[in-house]
Amino acid sequence: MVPSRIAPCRLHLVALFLIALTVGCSQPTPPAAPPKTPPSAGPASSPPPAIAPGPSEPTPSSAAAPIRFADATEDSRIGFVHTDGSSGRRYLVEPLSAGVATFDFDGDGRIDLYFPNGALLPGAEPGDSGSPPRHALCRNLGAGVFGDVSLAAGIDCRDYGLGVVAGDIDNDGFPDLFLTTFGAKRLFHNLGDGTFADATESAGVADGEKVGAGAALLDADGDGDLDLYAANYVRFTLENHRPRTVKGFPAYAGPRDYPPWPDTFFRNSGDGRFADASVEAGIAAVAGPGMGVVCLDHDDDGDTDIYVGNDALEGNFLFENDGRGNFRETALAAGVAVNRFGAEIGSMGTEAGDADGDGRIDLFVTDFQPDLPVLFRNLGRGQFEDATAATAAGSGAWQFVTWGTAMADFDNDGRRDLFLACGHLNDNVEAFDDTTSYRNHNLLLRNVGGRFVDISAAAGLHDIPRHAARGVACDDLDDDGDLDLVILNSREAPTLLRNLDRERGGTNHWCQVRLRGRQGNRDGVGAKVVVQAGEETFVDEIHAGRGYQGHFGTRLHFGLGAHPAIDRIEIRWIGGSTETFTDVPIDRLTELAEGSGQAVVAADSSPAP
Amino acid sequence: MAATGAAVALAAIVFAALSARSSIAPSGDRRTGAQERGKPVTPLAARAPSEAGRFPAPSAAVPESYAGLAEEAQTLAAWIGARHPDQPQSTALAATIAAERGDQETAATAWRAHLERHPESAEGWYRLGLYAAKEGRDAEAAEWLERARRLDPTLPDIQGHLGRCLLKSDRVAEAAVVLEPVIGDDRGGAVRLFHLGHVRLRQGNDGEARAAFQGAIDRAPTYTGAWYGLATALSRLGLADDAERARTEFRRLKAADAETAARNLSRDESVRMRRLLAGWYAAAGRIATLDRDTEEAKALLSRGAAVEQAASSSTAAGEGH
Repeated sequence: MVPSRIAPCRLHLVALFLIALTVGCSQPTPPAAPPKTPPSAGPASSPPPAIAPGPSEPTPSSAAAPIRFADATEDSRIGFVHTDGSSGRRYLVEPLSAGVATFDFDGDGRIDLYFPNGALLPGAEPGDSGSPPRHALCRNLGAGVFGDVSLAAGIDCRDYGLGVVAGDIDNDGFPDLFLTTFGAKRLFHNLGDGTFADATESAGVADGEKVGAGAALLDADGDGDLDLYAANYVRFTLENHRPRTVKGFPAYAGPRDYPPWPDTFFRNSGDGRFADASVEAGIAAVAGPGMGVVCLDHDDDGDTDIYVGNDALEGNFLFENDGRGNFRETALAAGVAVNRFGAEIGSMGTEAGDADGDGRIDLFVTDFQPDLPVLFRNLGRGQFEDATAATAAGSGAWQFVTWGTAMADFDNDGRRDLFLACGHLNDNVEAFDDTTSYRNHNLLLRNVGGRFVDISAAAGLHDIPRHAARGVACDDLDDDGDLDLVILNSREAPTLLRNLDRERGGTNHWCQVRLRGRQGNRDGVGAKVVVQAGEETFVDEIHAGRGYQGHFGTRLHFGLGAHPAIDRIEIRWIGGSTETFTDVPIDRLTELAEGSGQAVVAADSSPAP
Repeated sequence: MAATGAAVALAAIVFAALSARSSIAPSGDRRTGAQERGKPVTPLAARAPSEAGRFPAPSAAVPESYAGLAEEAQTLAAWIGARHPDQPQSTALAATIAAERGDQETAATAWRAHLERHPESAEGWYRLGLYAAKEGRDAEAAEWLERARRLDPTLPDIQGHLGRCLLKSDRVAEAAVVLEPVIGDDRGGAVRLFHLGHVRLRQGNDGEARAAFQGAIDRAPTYTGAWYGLATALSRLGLADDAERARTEFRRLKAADAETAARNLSRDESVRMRRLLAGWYAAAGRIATLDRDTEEAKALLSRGAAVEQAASSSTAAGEGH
C-alpha cells in the first residue's frame, strides 16, 4: 500500500518536461512514410512498425476457455459482510482488512471458511443490526452451502481482524486458529469437538497492541511442533493518525508515514505455550512494514525459511533458517528483496509454488498500482531472478492494486496458474487517477507453456460484480477435483467462485494429498512432496499461511494433465527423513502417513465424477 | 483559409478533450469514462476563453487550495490550446496539466488530436509512447516510441525508453539492437546503459552486463537500480565480495532515498501545485511569444509571477517542508 508515493515522482517528470519545453521541443523530421491516421485505442495500421509487434497470446472465447468460474456466492448462503469500520476519517488500517482462510476445522473432510472482520473505529456507526461486527467461521455443509457456526464454535471475535492462519499447534489432530488484528493477536485452540477455546493468554501470543499482518506456522527448529511467525505493519495508533491527501483529495496514509514494527517470532514450547524468540532467532534484527508471509524451503536444504512481503520500504525479507530455528535475513543476496530494476515492491500478498515446472519453488508477490506483481524464479542454490517480463506474470495487472493471490492449477493441466485479487484502497481514487478504480474485476493468468496469459474475461471474471477485493483462498471446496476460490471483499460480502472444470467435462487427471506427520508436525507443514508421473515431476510444499494475510491449501492438489497414473510420490518430511509412496491412486484424495509407506484413500475422498 | 479552419477544428478538439475528456468518443448519450466513474466534470462554459485575443488573466488572489489551483491550470490549458493550436507546445502543456490532475485519458486524447493535424510530430508519438509505457502497455508503447525515434532520434532518452519497453515485452534481441549504439558513446545516458545491462543479463552475458551497469554508475553515481544490477552481474560472475560491496552501496543509497521520500510526504500539495502553475504560466507565455502575441505573453507571464510570488510566500511561511 503506497498511496502517497506517486506525487514526488510525477513532480520530477513534470519538471523534466518543463525543462524540455524551455529548451524547445524537437522539430519534427518528415517521416519516410508518415502515418495517415492517429492511434486510437490500439496500434495504428500504417505504416508497419520497424519493430515487429511482440508475441501475443490468443485470448480464448468464453465457450472455449480452458478455465471457467461461476459465481456461487448466492447459492452458498454465506451471510458474512465485511466492514472496515470506517467513517470517512481514513484510518490507516481500514484498507488492510483482511485475509481469509480455508481449512477443515471439524475434520469432516469438507473445507470450511474463516472470514476475519473489521471493527467499528471512532466515528463509525453500527450497521442495521445494531450489533458490532464479528468474524465468521462458516462450516461447509456440502452441496456448496455454508453455515455460520461462529458462536456455536465458541468464536465470538470482534477484534479488528487483519490476518489469519490455521494449523495444528499441539498435534492433537485438529487445526487451531491464529489471528492478527489491529490490537492484540489471538489464538483459538481447537478442542476437537467442533468448538474452540481462546488460548491467547495461556499461550502467551498477544504480543501487545500492534497493526498485525500476515502470519505463518512452521517447524523452524525441526522439533516436531509448529512455531509461529507474525508479520507486523507500522507503528500506527488512533492517536497518531495522519490524514493525507492526494491532489487535494482525502486519501489513506501509507507505510512511509510511520516507522515499521519488527515482526514477531514465537517458538513453540511444546506445552501449549509460546515464547517470544524474535530477538534470539534473528527476526527482530530488521524491521519493515510487513504484509503477506509465506514459508518455503527456498534453498532446498531441508529446513523451512520465511519470506515476508514488505510494503514498499526496506525491500522484502527472506529469513534463511540454519536448521535450528536461527535466521539470517538474505533477501537482497538471494534476489528476492526488490524487483529486477532495484525498486522496492509495494508488496501485498506472497505466494510460493513451482511456476515453471522445474521442481523448484518460485515466489510471487502482488504489488501496488501501477507497478506490476513480481514473479521470482528459483534458479537453485538459493538464488532467484525476477522473471516477470520473461513469463508475462504481470499481464493485465498494471492498473490494479493486487492483494490476495494463489498459484494453483485450475485446469489440472499440470501447470500452475495465477489468480490475483484486485481493488484499490482509496474509495475515491477515480477522482484523482483515471487509470484505475476502487472496485475492479479480478485477474486469472493461465500458464501456457511457462508464459502467463490473461484469460480473466474468458474465464467469466468480468461477468461477476466488481469489488474491492483483499484476501483470497483456494481449495477444492466442493470436493469435485478442481480448485475453487473464496475472496474477501472490503466493505462487502465475499465472493465464492466455483471452478467449472469438472462440470464442463475436464478430462485432465489430478490427485490430492493430505499428509499425516508422526515424528514431525501432524499436518506435515513444511514437507516437500514430489509427484512422479511418467516423465513429469510435480513439486509442492505444505504451507500454513500464504497469500494476502491468509491461509489455504493444507491439502495439496496436483493437476496431472493426461497422465493416467502416478508412478510414485516422494516426501521429504521436516526433520530430514524421506519416504516414497507407490500405488497412489489418481483422481482421489489420498492420505500419506509418515513412516507408513502406504497410501490410503481418504475416507472422505469423493470419487471422480 | 483551409489552414485557419483546421486550426479552429484542432482548437475545438483540444478544448473538448479538456472539458469532456474524450474528443473521440461517439456522439449520443454515451458517457465518458470519468462520468461513468462519477468523476466531476467542470462545465465547459467555466473554462471558455472570454474574448478572442485577450487572455482572461485572473486578477483575483491566487487560490489557496489545490482544487482552486488545479481549476486555474485547467482554464490556462484550455485557453492556450484554443489560442495557439498550431504550437506543439500548446498540446504538451495541456496534456501535462491534464496528467497532473490524474487525467491520463485527456492527456493522451490531446496528443492524438495533435497527431491528427501533425502526424510527423515526433513529440506526439513520443508522449503517447510514454503514456502507454506508464500504463504497462509496453508493446504498444514500443511501437509509438519507435515511430518517434525514426522521426527524431534526439528526443530525450528515446533509446532508453524504447529499449526498456522492448525488454519488458520480452523482446530482448530487439532491445539490444536499440541500446547497443550506446557502447563507446560518451553521450550515452545512464538510463540507456542501465537497460542495456538488463538486456545483457537476459542474454546471459554477465561480463558485458557488468560493464554496462558500471558505465551507468560512472555517469550517475547515485543510481540505485544500476548498483543493484551491478551486484546481480557480479554475483553471477562469481565475484561474491564485489557483489556484496555493490549491495552495500545499494542499501546505503536506498536508505537515503527513503529519507527523501519521507520528507516529500510532508510537503503541502497546494504549495507544489502553486510552483507547477507558475511554471505552466511561464511556458504559456513562451508559447504566446512564439506566436508574436506580446500582449498575451505579458499577461501570462505576469500572472505566472504572481503565482510564483504566492508560492515563495507560502514556503517562507512554512507551509511546505
